[in-house]
Amino acid sequence: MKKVWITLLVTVLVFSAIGMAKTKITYFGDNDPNSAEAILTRLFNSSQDEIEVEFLLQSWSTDDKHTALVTRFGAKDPNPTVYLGDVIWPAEFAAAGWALDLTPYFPKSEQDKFLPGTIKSATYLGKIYAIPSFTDGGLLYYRTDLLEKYGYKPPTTWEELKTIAATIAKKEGIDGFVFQGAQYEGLVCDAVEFIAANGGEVIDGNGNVKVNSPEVIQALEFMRELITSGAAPDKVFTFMEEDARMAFQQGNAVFMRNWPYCHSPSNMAGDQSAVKGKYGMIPMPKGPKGSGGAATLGGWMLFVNPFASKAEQAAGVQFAKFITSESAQIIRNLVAGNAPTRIAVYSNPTVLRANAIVETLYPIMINAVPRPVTPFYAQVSNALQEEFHAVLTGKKTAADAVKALERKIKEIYE
Amino acid sequence: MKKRWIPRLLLTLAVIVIIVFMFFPFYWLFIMSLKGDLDLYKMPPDWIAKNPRWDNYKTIFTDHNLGQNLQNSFVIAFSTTLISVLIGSWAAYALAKFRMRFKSLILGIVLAVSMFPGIVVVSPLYMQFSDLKIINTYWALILPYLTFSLPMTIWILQSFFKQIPDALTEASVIDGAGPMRTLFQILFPLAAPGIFTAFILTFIGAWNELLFASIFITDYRKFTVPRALTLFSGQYTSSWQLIAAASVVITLPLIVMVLLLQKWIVAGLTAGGVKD
Amino acid sequence: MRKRYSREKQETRMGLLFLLPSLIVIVLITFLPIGQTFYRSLFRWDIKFESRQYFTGLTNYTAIFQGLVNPDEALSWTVSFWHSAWVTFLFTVVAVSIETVLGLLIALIINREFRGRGLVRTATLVPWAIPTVASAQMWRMMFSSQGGVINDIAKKLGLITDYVNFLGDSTTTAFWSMVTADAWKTTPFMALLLLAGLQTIPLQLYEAARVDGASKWRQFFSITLPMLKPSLLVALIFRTLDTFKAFDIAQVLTGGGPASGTELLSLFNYKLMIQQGQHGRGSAVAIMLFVFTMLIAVFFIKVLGADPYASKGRELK
Repeated sequence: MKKVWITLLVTVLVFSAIGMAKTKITYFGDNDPNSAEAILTRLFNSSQDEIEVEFLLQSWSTDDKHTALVTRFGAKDPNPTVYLGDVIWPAEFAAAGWALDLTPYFPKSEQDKFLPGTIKSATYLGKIYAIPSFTDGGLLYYRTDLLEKYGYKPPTTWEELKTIAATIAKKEGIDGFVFQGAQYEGLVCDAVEFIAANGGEVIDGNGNVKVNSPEVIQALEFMRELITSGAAPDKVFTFMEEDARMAFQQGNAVFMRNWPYCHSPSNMAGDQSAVKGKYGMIPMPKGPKGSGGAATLGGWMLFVNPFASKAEQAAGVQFAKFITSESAQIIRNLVAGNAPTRIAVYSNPTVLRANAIVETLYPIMINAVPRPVTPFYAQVSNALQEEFHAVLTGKKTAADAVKALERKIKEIYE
Repeated sequence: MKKRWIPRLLLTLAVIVIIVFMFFPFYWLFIMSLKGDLDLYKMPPDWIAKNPRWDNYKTIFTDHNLGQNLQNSFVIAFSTTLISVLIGSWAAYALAKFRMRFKSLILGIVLAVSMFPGIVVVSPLYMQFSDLKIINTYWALILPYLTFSLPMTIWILQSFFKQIPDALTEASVIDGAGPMRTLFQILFPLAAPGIFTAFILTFIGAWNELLFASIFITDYRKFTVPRALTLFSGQYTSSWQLIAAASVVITLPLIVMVLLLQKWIVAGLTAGGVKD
Repeated sequence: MRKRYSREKQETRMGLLFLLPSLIVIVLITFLPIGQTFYRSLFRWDIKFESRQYFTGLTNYTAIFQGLVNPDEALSWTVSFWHSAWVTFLFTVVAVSIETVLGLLIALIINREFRGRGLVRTATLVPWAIPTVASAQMWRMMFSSQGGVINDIAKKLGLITDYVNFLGDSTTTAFWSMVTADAWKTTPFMALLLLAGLQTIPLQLYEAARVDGASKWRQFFSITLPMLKPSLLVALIFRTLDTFKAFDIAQVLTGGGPASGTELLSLFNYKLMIQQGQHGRGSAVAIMLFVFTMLIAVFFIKVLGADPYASKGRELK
């Protein structure tokens, strides 16, 4: 009799202990401890009492984040439970078994509420592995005052961009079109935009290499023509985002391809800018074979670690859903100015009142295209960087470069 | 007699050039650490900080956790040094004072180990450390740091021990003192400069190391200072003033140490082969 | 006779006991891992994909060989490997040469009597003690085309008309920037080592030469250099090996760019193995790096006659 009582008592104690204990999970978020991420994490922790999320600070650099996660997951580390990853990671992490299949928790009906490009990036072989959190897309900044002075309308085609840039650059003695032309990831983003705007692609959804096509060759040739025609200065061979922004912000360029971050109070809209109130933002122009201008999709999404315990995974999914919810995205936009991934947020009156630029961004983001979706993205990107740069600097013809790319990408897939 | 002042002037000029060459970069780093966002990219740049922003130094501690990083670096470098000197001094004692075989073979091995490129051991060590569950602990850096600090310590100490007359150690043994007592009571005090040198060199080596620190630690709370410097850049932007301020802070302890102990360092460097 | 023999035996046993902890550590954290790295280099081992984890024998090494003899057909990682090897070789030769010449010059200057000599000697230690991470950041700022002081000076002197992005514009400028940053940090140290060597040369030699009427140049080439040779070689062997293994400077200063023009072998190896997770191929590259290091050491010791054992305690006066 006594034994039964003790057993019963222990059972009750154990269960009540489980009931009381919070599930503790970890989150590899953005770097800044005062960022929207950290605020949202605190909000989540105080909004319920079953899950406690610990925010892990990490390096800003995308490469550093990637390396840290590869090293951890290579050793099957159950931490972090949830992580924020770049849009180019889902295929790689899914193929490696390092991202939980979220299809059961993230049904089609829910997916339809997000920008289509972001969903496409998060999908690998028909399953979805991440929930898009905030997004980014390339766009064209242009000088309204200069275009008006010479009687031009904002360009919608490549030819217009080239002609206007070359003409005004010559007459004003400044640079025409500046973009990211250094041999690094930014060049891939810019080139993918030109390729998509001409109806081409590098790798299709089934992993087939499509780079050797007339559309791609024409796009690369056009990028080279920008240099030879004087529409773009040859110093873009080493330009990254910040170099382009500096040139444009100091009033030394007519056009710039860049991300939305350049238009923020501390940058070009503020007092320290020579172009304040003298510029506009539009989608990139389209190529001769394309149906419209394209923006390369950037941004970040939430992944759940499959090495975590089942309870942690469930808690992680709940947290990821919270971070990507409509209200969280509104807060994020208000705090950090990040572009939302949920379509509805673009028409939210509070957001529009605080950040009018969101309205400009919508047509760009809704048409944004992902970079090649491949589990070997890092290697593919390296090959693309090398060959695209060779074409841009005139060391190789576009036709030779795509042939070399075809061979290199096939080797990567072996 | 008349021409004497020309070489003197040239010598003085040469010395000034050397000093400027060595110190100007450090001066520039310091100036950068006091600039604000907007002055950083100005061309031509200001050669002095017009409105010094000492706040930058506050920011790296309040917003960026540099205090914790300094503590990590200190604990790791100090432990590495302590372990190296302790077990390294036994080895050095044996190599310097014992009549034994395989001596030159062992010395050769020690020297060879100090030449290994660190990356050769990274991958297997990572797997072992994760099996042992010591990734993201101090041990994950202390142990691999022994690969370079231990050979260096043994090398320096044995060359110092050798200079101490055998008669002293032998007398101690005849007096009935065991080898341990001989080591600590006779050799240690006499070879104090060598011990200090080994201590400093190991400490500097561990304090400055980046490769292992980038791999065996993935948790920012355990980052050492060289690793933490990479945290100050943004996705597209770099906070140069913070990087500069943090660089100044992590360098200062070493400069102070070097200036205080320079005599021993110089002696040790030239005695123990040439390892940095 | 027998007594001495047994005493040696006894001391050998005792000595081994004293050596044991160090030897255990060295075996566990150096020899064993090197063996494991070699073993892993016989595999294709991509930590991300289990389908890419299998035994391949010496395939990684034959692929590397292919990359040398037939780069057009070879796998691209092997071509990158040889590219990095070439960059590393160039960097080592150029940087160490410059450091040696400048270091010798500085050593000769400091070796003369002048006021504040001790101060200068102390000052030479400062660049050496600064973490490479910090010194590389420092040079990154100075080389920058936005706010960098080197551009400012060069433009004021009329050497350039437009500001130059030294670290990004071309592989040549980036390479020389890396050499400059490295030379700044290690030249003073080299000078210090050579100074120690200079001070062991007996002054009588110079006096005798003066009596014979030998010029300063003659004295330098027939006394200073030959007498300095042992210390010079020891300094060279260690500097060469350290430069060949360099990682921090390329990682922080340029990240290996532009166009992989400053991608030193250690950095290439880090990217392949750690960033991409290619442990099999990365291990093969690590073993190659190890072999190169040993070849350099053998070259110095056997061919040039460097004797690292001989460096005994030489106190600076």
